[in-house]
Amino acid sequence: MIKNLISNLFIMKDILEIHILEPVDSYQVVEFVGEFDKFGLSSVKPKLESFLKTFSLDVLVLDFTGLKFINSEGIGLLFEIHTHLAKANKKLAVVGSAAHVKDVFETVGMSEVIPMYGKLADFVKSNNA
Amino acid sequence: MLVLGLILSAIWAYGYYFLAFESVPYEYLLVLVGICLLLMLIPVYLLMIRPLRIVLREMQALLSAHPYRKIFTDRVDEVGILAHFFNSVTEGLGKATYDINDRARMHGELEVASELQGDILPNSNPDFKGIYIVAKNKPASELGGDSFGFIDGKDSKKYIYIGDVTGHGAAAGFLMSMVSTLIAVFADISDNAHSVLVNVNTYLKKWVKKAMFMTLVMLSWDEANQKLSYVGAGHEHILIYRSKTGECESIKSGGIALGMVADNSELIKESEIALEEGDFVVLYTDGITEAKNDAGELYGLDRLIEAVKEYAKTYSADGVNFHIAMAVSNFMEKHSQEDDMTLIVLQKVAKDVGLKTASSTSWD
Repeated sequence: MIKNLISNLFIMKDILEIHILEPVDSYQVVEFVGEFDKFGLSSVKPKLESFLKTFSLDVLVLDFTGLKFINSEGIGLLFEIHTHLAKANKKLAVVGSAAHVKDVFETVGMSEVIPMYGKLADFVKSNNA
Repeated sequence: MLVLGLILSAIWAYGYYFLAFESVPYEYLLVLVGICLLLMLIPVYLLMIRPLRIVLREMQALLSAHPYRKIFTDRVDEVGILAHFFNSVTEGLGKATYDINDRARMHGELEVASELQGDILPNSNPDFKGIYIVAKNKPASELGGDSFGFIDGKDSKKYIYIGDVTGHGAAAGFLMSMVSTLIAVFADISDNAHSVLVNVNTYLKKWVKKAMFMTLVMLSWDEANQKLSYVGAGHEHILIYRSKTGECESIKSGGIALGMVADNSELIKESEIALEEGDFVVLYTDGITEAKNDAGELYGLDRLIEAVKEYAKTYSADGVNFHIAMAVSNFMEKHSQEDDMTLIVLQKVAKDVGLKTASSTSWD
């Protein structure tokens, strides 16, 4: 147990992790867990970029339920993703944002560009409507 | 090889003299031995001494910083190994030298770009009648993404703006320079701040294909009417300190960041801020609220509001700016600055008073 504790101390964990879930109908969900700042961005950007190259569905849903913090660097990457998808006539949606994340989105005006939903179920309902 | 040659020469000379040709003069034998030795020395020179001298000459040139050449050889003996070692070392050295020169060239170009950007930002504060303005800026790298400026507009309008491009570095610096130039151009021909930012956005969206944006808030000060208004483009909060109550309001600048949509005319709006003498307006970029200390805590909006309340009741705009900058620096302890920081403090003063601080806009 002590050995595990010591080894855990020396394992550098990424401050932001993404989990790419299996596609569902016309959309696919990517979960974000952690803090989306300059360092978080550098840890997920390569994985996200390679995922986007093969993404062929209509809507990419980013689940921010596990996201604790986002700043302009994170918003910048989201805007890049949005622009990339829009060029291919695809859409980006965000679900499950915490109050802080929602506030940053609204401050910058991102909520005018990317639709936000309270929960994944709200997105699904809206998508099916 | 030399020793072997000497032994052979001695045996041959001994046999020649004692066994067969006793009558041959002694001098002849000496000449013969000398010729034999010479013949033995030629291959020694060609195979050993000359290649070694070449290797040593090139090494000497390298060590004394003179031009040196690659040594061509297919030998695999000691001399060959030495030559290959020299070639390998100098090849690595050449690459390192190229990298250093290339780095120096890029650094030089970056310095020029940094100077050009520095020329775009005002290095002194303005003296607008009725409002005392003190701005400070501290880029995190050679090229910053933060921008601010004070521009004389049409009629009696004066524009004060602060902006922040996504990220920092060369791309952010370039976009910031572009926006600053566009603002200066459109401030000359537009009637109000709303019109300036609509035009800037239109050109920005048209010419910048990369997915980048800039948050910005522009204040419009009408010197004739002594009225202040603002147009937000997705920037941070605007802080307003009321001297009568000692309270600090925090209002969202609103709108949408420049470069996000093709037409922002319906998404941004101009609103008025009613000010009384002694009131303050504080504008900032997120490098201040997201400044971290050694424990990883953010400075945050709440600390900034408290700092405004604490210093605005005692100091003028110059003092408020100085003490907030000091408070942020103290908070950060030894933690390095991760983002550009800009802070603008405005203080409403009497109508005909034009105050100008002697300090520069550099946050030292």
